[in-house]
Amino acid sequence: MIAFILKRLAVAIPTLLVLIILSFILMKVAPGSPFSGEKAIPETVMKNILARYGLDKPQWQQLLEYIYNIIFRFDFGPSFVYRDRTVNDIIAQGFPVTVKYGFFAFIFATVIGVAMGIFAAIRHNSWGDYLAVGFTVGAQVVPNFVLAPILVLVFTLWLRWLPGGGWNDGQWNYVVLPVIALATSYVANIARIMRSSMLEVLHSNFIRTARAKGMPGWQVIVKHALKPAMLPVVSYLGPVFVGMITGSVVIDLFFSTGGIGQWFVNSALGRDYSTILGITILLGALTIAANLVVDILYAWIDPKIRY
Amino acid sequence: MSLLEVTDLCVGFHMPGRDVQVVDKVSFTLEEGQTLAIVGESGSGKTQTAFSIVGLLADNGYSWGSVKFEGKELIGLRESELNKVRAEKIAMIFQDPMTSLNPYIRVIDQLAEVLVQHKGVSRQQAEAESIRMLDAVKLPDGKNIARRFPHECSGGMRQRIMIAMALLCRPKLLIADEPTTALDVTVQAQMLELFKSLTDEFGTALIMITHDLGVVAGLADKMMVMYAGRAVEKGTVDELFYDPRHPYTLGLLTSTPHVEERSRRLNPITGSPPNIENLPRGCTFHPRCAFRFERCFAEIPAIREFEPGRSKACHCEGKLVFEENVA
Repeated sequence: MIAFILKRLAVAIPTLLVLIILSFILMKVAPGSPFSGEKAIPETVMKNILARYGLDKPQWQQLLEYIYNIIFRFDFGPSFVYRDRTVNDIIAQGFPVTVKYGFFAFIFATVIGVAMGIFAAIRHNSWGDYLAVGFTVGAQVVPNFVLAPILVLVFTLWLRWLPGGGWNDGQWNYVVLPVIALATSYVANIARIMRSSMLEVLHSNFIRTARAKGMPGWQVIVKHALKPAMLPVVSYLGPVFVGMITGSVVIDLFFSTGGIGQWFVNSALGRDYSTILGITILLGALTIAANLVVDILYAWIDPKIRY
Repeated sequence: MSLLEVTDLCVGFHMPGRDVQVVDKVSFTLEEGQTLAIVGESGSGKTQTAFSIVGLLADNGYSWGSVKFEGKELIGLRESELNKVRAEKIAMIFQDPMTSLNPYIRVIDQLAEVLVQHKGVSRQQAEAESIRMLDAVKLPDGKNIARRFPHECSGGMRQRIMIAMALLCRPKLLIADEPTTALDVTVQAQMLELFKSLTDEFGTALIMITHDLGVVAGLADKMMVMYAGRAVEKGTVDELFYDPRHPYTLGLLTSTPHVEERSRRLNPITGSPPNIENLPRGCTFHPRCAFRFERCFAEIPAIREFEPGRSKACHCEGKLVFEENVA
């Protein structure tokens, strides 16, 4: 197991390197630069700016220096667009916000989704089941950029319960709506996966054995059916976790939460090379970590899996 | 009072747009310590009969009639009441040991939870007793096997584990649904030996569901033959083997090879079992029956006692003479 984890971490390093190099090349290939605007900048000024950010050096040297700085100084460089900030500053500012509402959204989606899926499966073909399935279909077809304004309309403008935007250092009432807006479609997906896998497990022979042993229904579910039924959900949760804590552009823009998703989009539009690269690497590293956690969870759940 | 008294037991299933009845008015009794074999082809309703005794039908299944265990009616009992009977009084062993154990839970945990559930003993006591039971079913090194996951055990080992699990609470009745079908032949023989010695040792009554007449001969006291959801002949094993009175029982016996009679040609039953949703008119066996006459085409034979302790569902009278089968 330890060997497996070390091996996976060893593979992660070249993966990240490839990610950096490809992103770097793609950005340089794209037309325009962080400093090209509507107004032409005098040639001497442009030269100075490029020298200040090291953009006058050959491309390969820029790439090597960039990688060197990350590995040995953990420095993602200065932002090209926000003059007074480094990429480290931007991540330090946006990432905690995203992690906070993303984490709550993840917990919310997992708990509600799993519970709803189990409920629908054990009440198979009853009104409760139909209601749950109806909800999952409804929640899946309503995108979050439609759901977010509806939530604000209901809870902010009509009921006046919750603020419709802002972050306020993550005070709880500012977190609720972003969490719900982000989590709802995931709740639906998790519930749907949980329901179908639970139904399949409940029809297996070993569940009949458990019932023949005179175990009460809830014990059959919790002790015998939950683990195997969770397998498909767990493999889905890895990417969901990454998707959530790396932020949603829609949520950041709509609720002005100031999370990393907003910075990511702005920097892409502004050709803020170092910020794009910094956030990309962060997301890449998180994805690799999440997949590793999923694999470890898999081995923990299913004894037949040995690495 | 008999240990188990089943009267007019019926089983049906809700299917999309229709209901299908798969067991029709089956009755039998079982005394303490006795072994009953229920014999029949696939789809004859023998498994559903057994499952309905402890309410283990699939979600869309339902049963009516009467199942009295130690004088207590089990049909219509609430799930929580049934749970007190299951494993504690009536235990089950299933056909496929490869899939009947939970692959995600260690053997010892699957065994011990039965005792914790029904006997209210501590975890340690339950584990110690479980390991003793693994030794009792003649598993080499029960302690070691207890720590394993099911996939780390062979088919024969798993079926022994299932048997150990079923016997943990010393049930009065054990229902075994084709317990040897999925095992290879040498293991089958060992398993039957084990059933015999354990049921004798614990005084457990046994209902053995099988389509293998060899199993019946070696193990059972009484026998019930089922065809298309109905009981067609009941009696002691000796009576049915040496003097079958229903053409279907006769057909089963003559289609089984014997070691002593090498030269005899087998007489298979022609045709195949009827579709339970589209049964033939009259006696359900008549299209395959060599003894049929007009009455069989029109009238369903009710099961009747023609000798004390022996009954059959057939319009024929007296002994069946084998030669007629050839024509």
